[in-house]
Amino acid sequence: MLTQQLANGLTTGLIYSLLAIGLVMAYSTTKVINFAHGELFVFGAFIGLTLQRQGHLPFAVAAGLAVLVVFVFVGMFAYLILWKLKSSLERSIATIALGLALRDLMLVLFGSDSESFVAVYPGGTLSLGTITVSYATVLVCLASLVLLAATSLFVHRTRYGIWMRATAQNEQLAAMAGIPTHQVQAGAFAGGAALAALAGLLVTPQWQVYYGAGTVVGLKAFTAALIGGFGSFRGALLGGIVVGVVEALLAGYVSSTWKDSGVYVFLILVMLLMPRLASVVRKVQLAWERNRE
Amino acid sequence: MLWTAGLLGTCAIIMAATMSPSQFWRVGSLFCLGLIALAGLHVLTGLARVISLYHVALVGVGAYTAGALSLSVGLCPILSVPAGVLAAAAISFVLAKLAGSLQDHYLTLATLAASEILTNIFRGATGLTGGANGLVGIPPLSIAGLVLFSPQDYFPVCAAFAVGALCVAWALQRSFLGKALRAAGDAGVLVETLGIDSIDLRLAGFVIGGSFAGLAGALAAHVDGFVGPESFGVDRSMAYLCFLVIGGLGKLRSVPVAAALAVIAVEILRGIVGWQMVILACAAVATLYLRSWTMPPLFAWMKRRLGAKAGVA
Repeated sequence: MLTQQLANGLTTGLIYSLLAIGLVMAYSTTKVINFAHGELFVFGAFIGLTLQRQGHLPFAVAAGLAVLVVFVFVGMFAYLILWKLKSSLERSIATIALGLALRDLMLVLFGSDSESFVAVYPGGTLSLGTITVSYATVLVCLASLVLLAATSLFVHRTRYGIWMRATAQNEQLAAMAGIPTHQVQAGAFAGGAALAALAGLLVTPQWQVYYGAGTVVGLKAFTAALIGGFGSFRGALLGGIVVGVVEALLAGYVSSTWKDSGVYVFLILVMLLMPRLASVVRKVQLAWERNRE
Repeated sequence: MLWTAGLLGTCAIIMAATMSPSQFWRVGSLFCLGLIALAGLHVLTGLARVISLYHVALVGVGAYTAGALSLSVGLCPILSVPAGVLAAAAISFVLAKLAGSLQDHYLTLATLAASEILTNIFRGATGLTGGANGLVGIPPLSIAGLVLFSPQDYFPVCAAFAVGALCVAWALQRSFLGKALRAAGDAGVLVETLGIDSIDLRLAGFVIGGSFAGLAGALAAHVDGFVGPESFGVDRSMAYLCFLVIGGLGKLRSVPVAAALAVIAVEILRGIVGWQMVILACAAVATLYLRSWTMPPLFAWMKRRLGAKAGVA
C-alpha cells in the first residue's frame, strides 16, 4: 500500500517538476511569476486536442504544433506587452489577466466538458513486486525525465542558455556584454510556458482536463518551485516529487476530498518556514566548513 | 468623478428603460453589494499594493457564516451580518498575521492558496456549508420586524451600506492610515525609516479589506436567500482585480466603475455572451499597457503640432 502510494506520488510528482522547472526558468530570468502557468498547461492540451480532432493529425505532430503555438503566443505577449509595464505589480496583474482570459476563452471555445486524447499510449500494466504501474505512466515518467534533462542541458550548455543565465544573474551587465536581454527574457518566459504546455500534452492521454483545471495544477507547480527555493532546477525537480508524494499520501491515508487543501496548507507552511530552514541549513554548512578548516 | 457619475447614470437610465422595476432594483442591489466588496479590494490592492486573490473567497466566508448562523441557530439578520463581517475579518487577520513577512509575489501565492483552501472547505465541509448544494432558504433581511423581501425593499439598505463603504474608503484615503498604506505599498523601506511598522500597516489593510468583503457576503446571503460554492472561486477574485484595473487602480472612482462592470459582466451578460470576461481581461491588460505610456512627451508632441498649425494660420 505504502510503496504503491509512493510510486503514484513519484509519477505525478515528475509532471509537477516539469511545470515547476518552467516556472523557475521564467522567474529566474525575468523576475516575473507567470500566474497563468496552470492555464497554459490546460491551453496547450486543448490546442493539441483540437489539432488532432479537427486536423486529423497524429498525436506527436499535434503536440509539437500546440507547443509551438503556446511558445509564440506567450513570447509575443511577453515581448510586446509585459516588458512595457514598469512595476512588478503591474506585470503580475497582467499575467493574472492573461490566465483569466485564457480560462474563459477555453470555456467559450471548448465548453465545460472534461476531455482527453483517445488511446495514444500502449495499454497494459507493469508489475514490480507489490507495485503496479501502467505502461502509459512509465512512458510519461520517462518522457518527463528526458525533458528535464534536455532543459537542464539547454540552459547549461548552449549559448542561448548561457545568455539566459547571464541575464538572470545581472541584467545590465549582460546587456553591456552585448546580449539582447529583452529577447532572451521573452524567450525564457515563453520557454517556461512551452514546458507547461508540453506537460499538459504529456498527461492528457491519461488525465482528464477541463477549462478550469489550470488553477489547481498551477498552484501545485508554484508549491513545487517554492520548495526548491524558486531558483534552482534541481530544487524544482525535488519539489515536484515532494508535492506529488505528499498529495498521494494524503489521498491514500487521509481523504481524497482534502488532498488538494493539504497541499495548499503545505505551501503556506513551506513559505513560512523556508527562510528559517534555509538559515539553519546555512548555519550548519558554515559550522561544518569552519570545522574542516 | 463627474465623468464616472455621468457614465454610471447613463447605464442606470438604460437599465431602467429596458428592465422591469423589480429586476432593476435587484441589479441595483447587486451593484451596491459588489461595490462594498470592491471597496475592500481597493484598500488592499489600490492603496496597499498587495494583490489579493482570495477576496471573493472572503465574501464567501461572510455569506456562509451569516447563512449558516441564521439557518442553524436562528440568528436574526441584525446579528448574523456582523457575525459574517467578524468571521471574514478574523480569517483575513490570521492570514495576514501568518504571511506577514512575505514579500509581494509570495504573498500573492499565499492568498491564492488560501482562496483554494476556502473554496475546498465550502465544497467539502458538507455538514457546515451544505456542500455542492449550498445553503438554501436563508431568511431575508429584516429590521425590527419589518421583513425586506422584495428588491424594492432591500435596495435602500444595500445602497446605504454601499454609500457608507465608499465614504469609509474615501475617508481612509485621506487619513494618515490610508496615506501610510499607500506609501508602504510604493516604498516599504522608506516608510519603515519613518518609524511606521509596514507589516502592522498591511495587517490593518487586510482586516479592513476583509471586513468589507464579509459585509458584502453577509448581505448577499440574506438578499439572495441562497449561498452556493460556485460563486466564490478564485476566477471571480481575478476578475474583480481586472475590473479595478480598468477603473484605474488606486483611484476611488475605480470602485463604482468596477462594480458596474462586475454586475454587467457577471449578472446581466452571463449565459448570453461567453466572451465578456475574455474581452474585459484583455481590456485590463490594455489599460495597464496604456498607463505605461508616458504622457508628457505626447503632450509636448501635440503642442508642437498645434503650435505649428497656429503659426501657419
